[in-house]
Formats: sequence, structure tokens, C-alpha cells
Amino acid sequence: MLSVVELLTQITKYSNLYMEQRLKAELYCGFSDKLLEKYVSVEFSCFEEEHSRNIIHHVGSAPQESLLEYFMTFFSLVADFIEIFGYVIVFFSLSPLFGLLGTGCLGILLCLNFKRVEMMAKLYDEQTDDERKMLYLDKLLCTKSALLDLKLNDAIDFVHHKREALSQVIWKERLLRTLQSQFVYASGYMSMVLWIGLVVIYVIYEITHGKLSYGVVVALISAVQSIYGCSECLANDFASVLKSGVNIRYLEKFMELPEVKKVEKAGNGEAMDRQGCLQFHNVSFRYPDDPKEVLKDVSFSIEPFQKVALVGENGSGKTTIVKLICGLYQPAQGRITLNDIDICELPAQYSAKIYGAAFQDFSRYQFSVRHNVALSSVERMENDSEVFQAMEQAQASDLQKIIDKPFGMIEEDGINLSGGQWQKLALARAYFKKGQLLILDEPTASMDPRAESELYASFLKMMRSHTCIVVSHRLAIAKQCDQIIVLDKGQIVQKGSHDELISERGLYQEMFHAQSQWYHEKDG
Amino acid sequence: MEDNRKQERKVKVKTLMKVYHFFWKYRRIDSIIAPLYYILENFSPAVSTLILAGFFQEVYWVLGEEMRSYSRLVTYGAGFIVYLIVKQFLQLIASISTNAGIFEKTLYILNEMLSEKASKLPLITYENAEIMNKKEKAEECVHNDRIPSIFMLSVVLATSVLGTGTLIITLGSYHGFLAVIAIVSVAQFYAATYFQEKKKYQISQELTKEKRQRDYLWSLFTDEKSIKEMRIMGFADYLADQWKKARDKINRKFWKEESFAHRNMMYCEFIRIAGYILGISFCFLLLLADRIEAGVFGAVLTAFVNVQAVIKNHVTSIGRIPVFLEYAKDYFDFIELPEEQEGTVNIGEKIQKISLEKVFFRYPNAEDFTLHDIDLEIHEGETIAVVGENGSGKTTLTKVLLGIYGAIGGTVAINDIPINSIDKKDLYKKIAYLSQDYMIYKMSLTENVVLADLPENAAEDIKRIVSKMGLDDIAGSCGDISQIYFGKEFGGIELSGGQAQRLAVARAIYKAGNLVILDEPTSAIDPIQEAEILSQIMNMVKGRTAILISHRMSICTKVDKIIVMKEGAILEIGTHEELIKKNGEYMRLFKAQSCWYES
Repeated sequence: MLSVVELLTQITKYSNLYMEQRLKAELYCGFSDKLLEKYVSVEFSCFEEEHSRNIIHHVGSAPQESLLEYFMTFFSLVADFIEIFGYVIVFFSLSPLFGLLGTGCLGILLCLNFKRVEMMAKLYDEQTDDERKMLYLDKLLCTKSALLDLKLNDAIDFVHHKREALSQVIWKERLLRTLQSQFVYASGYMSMVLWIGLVVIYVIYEITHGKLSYGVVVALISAVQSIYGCSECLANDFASVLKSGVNIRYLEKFMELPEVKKVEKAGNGEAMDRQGCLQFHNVSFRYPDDPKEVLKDVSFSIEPFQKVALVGENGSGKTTIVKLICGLYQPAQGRITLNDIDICELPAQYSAKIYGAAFQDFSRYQFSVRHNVALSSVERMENDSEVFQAMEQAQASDLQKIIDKPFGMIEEDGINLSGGQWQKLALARAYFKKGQLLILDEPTASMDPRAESELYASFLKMMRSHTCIVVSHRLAIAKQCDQIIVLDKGQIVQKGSHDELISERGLYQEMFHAQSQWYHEKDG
Repeated sequence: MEDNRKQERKVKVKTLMKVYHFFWKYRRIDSIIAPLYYILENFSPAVSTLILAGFFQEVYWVLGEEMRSYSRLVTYGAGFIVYLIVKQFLQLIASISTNAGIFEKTLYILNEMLSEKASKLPLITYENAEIMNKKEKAEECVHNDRIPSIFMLSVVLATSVLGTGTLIITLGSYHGFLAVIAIVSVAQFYAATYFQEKKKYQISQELTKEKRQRDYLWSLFTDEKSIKEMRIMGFADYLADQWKKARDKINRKFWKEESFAHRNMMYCEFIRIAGYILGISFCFLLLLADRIEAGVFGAVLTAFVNVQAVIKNHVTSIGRIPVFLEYAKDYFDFIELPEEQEGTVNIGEKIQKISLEKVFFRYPNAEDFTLHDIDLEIHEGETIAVVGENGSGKTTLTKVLLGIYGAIGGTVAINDIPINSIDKKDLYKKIAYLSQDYMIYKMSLTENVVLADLPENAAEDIKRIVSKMGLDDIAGSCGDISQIYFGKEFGGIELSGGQAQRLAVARAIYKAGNLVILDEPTSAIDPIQEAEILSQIMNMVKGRTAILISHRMSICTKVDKIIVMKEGAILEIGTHEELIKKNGEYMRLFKAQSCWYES
């Protein structure tokens, strides 16, 4: 009998493991697909806003693990309960008082355990900030650019001390709280031990009065031992259910983040096949939860094939306009139309074809040069001549010989590029798209003069077949555009061609003068 | 082959010694408490078996014969309770010491050692992929608690010898054969775990690239920059597919291995159960042959199961340790990397002369020289501009000149003292350097400017400089500028690119020093402010030695000497007028930019 039970236990144990693995497989594929889908459709502003960024940070890359843990421990918790319940029944049948006492002690154990977990969870919650700060300092001490700066400023020790001070604080608090919580936990166990003591006394008492048989004594004592062992499992499972529950709450919050509105009907598509006029109709914009208007009543119109420059100081709203054009933000008021169709009402498969864009904070994709160029239009990725053409236009022809070499972040002997080269690839990516709108947000900040100059020349060529919108601090590029829109504090203050604006003697003229005087002072 | 294995074993023993040394050095008390507890704990099954066996024996006798004293029964009962209390108490102490002392605190220490080491490596090692790879592995080792695990596993093992021995002897005292069955029937667990862990390590080594790729792809979906691009240009689906491919490839391999491991473990359990059945049958035989008493039967079985369980535990941990040691070796390999050599010669009050003679420089693993036969002399008070295309070696030149990177050939000297023998800490106190990858620290505004504890009365100075940099809107947001913090993730202010760069310039201006090196100081600043900040910079460098690197050729008209670099060599040196007259590379660079501003 015993061996059959043992055998069955093992078989169930392993079939359980097998089930868990199947479940894991399902969950890891199906669930992470869902998660990714959510990531792709969460509103863009959530990634910029602190609160939702925090949620995203907490969800991490493998929330399925805590989900699985929650699921599995929940079941084993139920199993523990049933098992314990079985043993407790034995005592109930012996004497209801014992059963009640036992249940009470178990209750105390669980309550105190709950308190322990809560104490620790609260501590972790309080300390995350400090801990993240410490991790940040750790990271500073392992990063090339930071180390260079710190070394030359003789500040490495400063950061070390700061780190050490933080670590001391965290550690002291944690040790103290661990001690406290362990004692809480232990006192829960003492109530169990107390109960076991009562049982032993009872057994001895009954034996002396000859009321118990040998078999019952053995059964009782082993039941006591089992309950004791079981309560340990119960406490542990209980604790981990509570812990993974916290993570799951974050997951829940994440799944509730607002999503980008999906446009189903495909009727508006045809109009997108020809170059259209882009118009802002009294557009205002403000970030959610922020009463300050970033854009105030902005109206302008960009004709097909026109070249337009957006200029203005830092924070004047240039980038916000770009993000609105690209549909990353929704205007608070007013409409943005392309060919008289509201861009919010474009079905995704059409809007994806419209834009070619390069930003100042472009992304450096660690795949290969080819990927970096062709990601904007993946179906043409293998078309060498088009890829090369885009690279030529972006002055990145020198990278053609390493077009398929992987980058160093993924492969050890991979290549790495300089900041300027990366920027050229970002530009090539925008060019390769061949969409009807070409958007360049600060495209030349880290380029050398020659590359910058050649880039402008090729850029002008490109413009012939595209509507083009450029944001730049370098007014040289604005000079070449058909229309310049000058922004100040979220409003359009000037509009017109370079010559018109220079003669207007406004903000633009002031800016242009400030920049060019550095070249002319000595000449003149 | 045989030698190789011997060598490997030697390395593992060495690594194990390093682990012990580490704990002895940093966690002495905890590393004593833990073994002590385990020594005691290993007696626990034996003690409980003895007490309970005694108790049951007593009960059996009491029930059999009316007239026995109960005092022994009470003693055994009380013994059992005391045993539980003591066990719980010891467990508490050990659990605190293990969790807090051995695992958590160790994690802190290991991390600290890691970052300390990383900060002491010569910066050039950061260009070396192999070493960066080592660092990654070391981080993984810390992250997965490998080192404390080795310690605990081996402690449990070592201390259990005595306890296990007692247990086996207890069982053997009933009959030797029982002990033999119990041990033999679980030996297979050793082989199973060893190969399982080894396979896991191998797979994880094999899949490093895929894992990096998977994690990298995933990170693209949480990074603002790439999200923006993939949504606008519509390649989110493509990246999602790539990620799924990478994920599935990894998961398939791991799951295959995992089910294989589960199955193996199940077979091992079957063998164990066969042993158990054999054990029971043998006990029955003994019972029938009157070699053991009926009262002891239960205790014998319990002892048998205990021996099996304990031995199984031990062989499983023995199987795990070798692979864990491989991880630990990765960590110690990194920690033992050579550190930067520090010179001791003090260069004196001021930097009077910097000289480079026939200097060559090449990055590790690179084929071409980044600096090529550089001859250069810079004297006190000179303002120098370095211009040239991307990748012409401008930034590298400043790094070699400061001894951040060591030259491969030629000599670099400051005040005629070779750079390698100079006390760098002292040297760096005398210079202000603004890197093109300027750093903004997620600390307070004052800390960002001073990068040290705030000296007295410095706040006013800082406020003035910051205001000159056009950062009044930030400095004005709070009365006490040491209470203005940066970094969104810590609840601070997030600076725009232009603001960040201006703050970095403020840092350089605050420090000023004897020698000022500014690498692309205005690349992210808008035109009106750029002019203002450039003139602030020119003001500051008056009377100091200064090296300015810029793509903005406009700065060149204001300096004493211009160095034009191309492909790692110095092509032209001279003033703006001289070089314009020369009509060479400089002229071309200058024209390329200024022509756009001509009216």
C-alpha cells in the first residue's frame, strides 16, 4: 500500500510538472503575444508620462512569470488547505475543542504570516526609490561616458561615497525590518507548537487512562507532524501568492492603459495615393493632466511638394507639431487634415505608408546597416539598389561595404559606428521610406561641416518628389525652404519665405543674424 | 584530454577557495552561524526519530502492561515539544543569517566590488568587446546569486557529513543492508543533476546571442525613441515577428531540455521507489524473522525514508556545484582584471606646456590607427580649436593628451613629465573637460555642477553661472538650488537636450581650472543662445589654456591657433587668416558651412 501511494505521488508530481511546463509554454507564447500587442497599441504619451512609465517599468519583460507563479502557488495553496483540513478533521472527530484550537492556531499563523509579508512588501516599496538610486550610481560607475566625465572631474570617490551611504541606509533598515518580520513569523509558529504541546499532553493523559489504542496514538502524532510540516508549506505558499499578487496588480494597471484608437473602415485610403495638402486648423495641444497649453491655436497649410522649416527656440513647440503630424498625439482642439481627411481617421495600413521620419533622438538599431536603412519599408529590404540609393542620399555610402555586418551589442565581434554615422543611417531610413511626407527633426546636430553641407544639397534634391518638413536650429537649412514657420511659446509668430522674414525684422531675422555673424565678423 | 580535465578541476577548486575566502573576509559571523546551524540541523531527523521511536515504544509498553511508570512517557512527550521549540528557534536565527547575511548583503558587496572594479579599469578596456563580455557574465553571476549559492550548498554538504553519518548508522544499526539500499537507490540523482546543469549552462552559453537579440528587440518596444519610429513608419509588426522568432527559438531549446530533465528526474524517482519497496519488504522479512520488534517497524521505515531524502538532497547539490563554479569563475575573472596604473609625480602649480611627439594610437581590435604621427605643442594661455570631419580623431586626441588612453608610440608629456608617471588625480583637478557625450547626473543641480560635496558659499557662484547659461527658468523654480533634482524616474526635472548641455557647460565653467577642453559644447543649443554661450565660453577661456573641438567652424575665428585634422593626422596648423590664405582643407571646411549664411 505504502509503496503504491508513494509511486502514485511521484507520478502525480511529475505529471503536474509536465502540466506546468505545458502551461508555461502556452502562457509564454500566447500571453507574451498579447502583451506585445498591448505595448504596440498603448497611446504614445503613456511612454512619456511618469506615472504610466512607472507601470510599464514594473511590468518588465516577463510578467508571465509572476502570473504563472500566482496560478501555481494558488493551486498549491488550495491543496495545502485541503490537506490540512483533512488532518484537522481527525482532531475534530476526536474532540471538537481540539479541532477548534488547531484551526485557531493555524489562523494566527496565517495572520502573522500575512503581516510579515506585508511588512516586507511595504519596506521594499519604500526602498525602491533608494534602491533605484543606488542601482543608478552603480551603473554610472560602469559606463564609459560617465566614467570619463567622473574621472576628469575627480568625482569617482564622490559617487562611491554617495553609493555607500545609500547602501548603508538601505541595509540597516532592511536588516531591522527583516528581524522584526522574522519574529512575527516565529511567534506564529510558537502558537502552533503550543497546540502540538496540548495534543501531546492530551495523548499522554488519555493513555494513562487507557482510553487510546496504539494505532490512534501513532495516527495522532503523525497527524500533528504532518500539520506542522504542512503549515510551513501553507505559510510559504501564502506568502508567495501575496507577493506575486502585487506584480499582477501592475499587470492589470498596464492592461488598462489607454490605447490608440483603431480605424476599421478602409474607405479613406484611395485619397492617400496622391500627394496631398497638409493643414492645421486651429490646433491646440496640451499634455494630459497638465493645464498648460503647449500649442495655442496653430493654423497653417503645406502644399504638396513644398519644403517647410519649423524654427524657434528650445521648447517653442516645434517637436510637438511634428508629433501631431505623425499622429503620435491627438490635438486637444482643432483638426489636422491631409487631403481634407482628418489624419486620426486614416486606417493604419495607409498611415504607415505616408511618413518618412528622422528625429534628433533617433534609435540605433543593433541589427545591421541594411536593417537600419530598410526598416522603414521592410518589404524592400533586399532591394540593394534602393538601399544603396538611400544611403547615398544620406552621405552614408562608406557604410555600404559593411552593409550586412551585425553590430557589437548583439555579437561580440560586431561593428560600432560613430554618432555622425548613426545619424546618417537614421536619415537614410527616412529617405528609404519614400512616403509622401518627409519629416526631419534636427537632422544634423552631430555631423561635421562637410557632411552637413552635402546633406543639405542632397536634401534639396530629395525635396522635389516629397512634401518636406524640417525642424532645425541651423537656419542655413531654413533659408532653402519655400516656407518658414517661426514658433514662439507655442504660437506661430511668423510665416513666410526666408527673404520675406529677413525683411520683416522679427524673431527670425534676429536668430539668423546671431548665427551668421560668427562667420562674417572677420570677413567684413 | 586528461590534462585538460585536470586543469579544469584545478580551476574549480581555486574558484571554490575564492568563494570561501570572500565569505571569510566579508561575512565572517554569518559564515560561521550557517555551518553551525546545518551541523545541528542534520541531527534533527535523527533526534526526532529517536524521540518518537522512544515515545511509541513507551506507548506500546504502557498499553501492553498496566503497571509501568508514566514518567518516561512524559519525558519523551516533553522532549518532543522542546525539540520543536529549539528547532524553530535555531531555524529563525539561521534563516535571518542566511537570507540577510549570506544572500542579500553579499549581493550588495558583490555589486559594490563590481562597480568599484569597473571604475578602476583603464577606460580603454571599455572599447574591448571581450572584457565587456566578461563584465556582462560577472553581472549575470551576481544577479543569479551564484556565489552565495555555492557557499550555502557546499556548507550544507560539508556539515551534513556528520549528520548523515549518524542517520545512516541509525538505519544501519537495524540492518546494514537497509542503509546500503537507501544510499544506492538515490545515487542516480547525482548524475542526473550534474548533466542537467551542465547542459543548461551550455545552452545558455550557446544562446547568448539569441537571448541578447530577444531582450534587445523587446526593449525596442518599451523605448520611446524606437516606439516613435516604428509607429510612424509602420515597422512594429516586422519587429514583433523578429522577436517572436527569437523567443520561440530559445524557448524550444529550453523546453526540450526541461522536459528531458523532468523525465530523467522521474526515472530517478522510480529507481528510488523501487529501493523503497525493497526496503519495506526487507523490513517485513526482518520482522518475520524477529530481528526487529513490531514497535520499531515504523521508526525503521521513517529512518529509511529520511536517509533516502537526505542523500538525494546531497547528491543533487553536489551535481549543481561544478556548474555554479563556472559562473563564479566569470565573476572572479572580471574582479581580477588589471587596474589602471597610477603615476606619482606632481606636475606643479600650473600646466605650462603640453607636448606630443610622434604619437600613434589605435583602439583595441582595430586595424587602422586613429591617431597617426601627431606632433604638437601647446603652451600656457593658448586657445586652440581642433576641427575636422567626423572620425578624424579630434576627441581621441584630447583623450590621449590627458592620458585617458595610452599612446602606442611616441611620447605625451605635460610640463616635460611623461604622462604615465604623472599623478593623474592631481592633474585632473587642474582641468575642466566637457565631453561631447555630456553627462547630466540624476542628482541635485548643485551636485551636478560641483560633483562633490557642496563647498560653503558655493551656492551663489553656481547660481550666477547657471543664470549666465540661460537656465534661470530651472534655477528659479526653487529658492534653494541644492534642492532642485534631475531625473524623471526619481521625481526630478527632466532637462531638454539644450538645457542639459548648458548645464554641462556650467559645470566646466565652474571648475574652469588651468586647462579647459570643450568637446562640441553647443551641439544641442539653439542659435540665439548658442551665440550667447559661445561668448561666455570665450570669456572664460581668456587667460587659460583651452582646447575647443567644434563642428561649428565659426568658433575658429576667435582662437589663437587652429588644428585641422584628417584621418588621424594633423593636416594644417595656423590662425584663421593663415589657413584661409592657404586655401587647403580648412578653407573647404569653412566654406562648406559659411556659404549657407551668405546673403
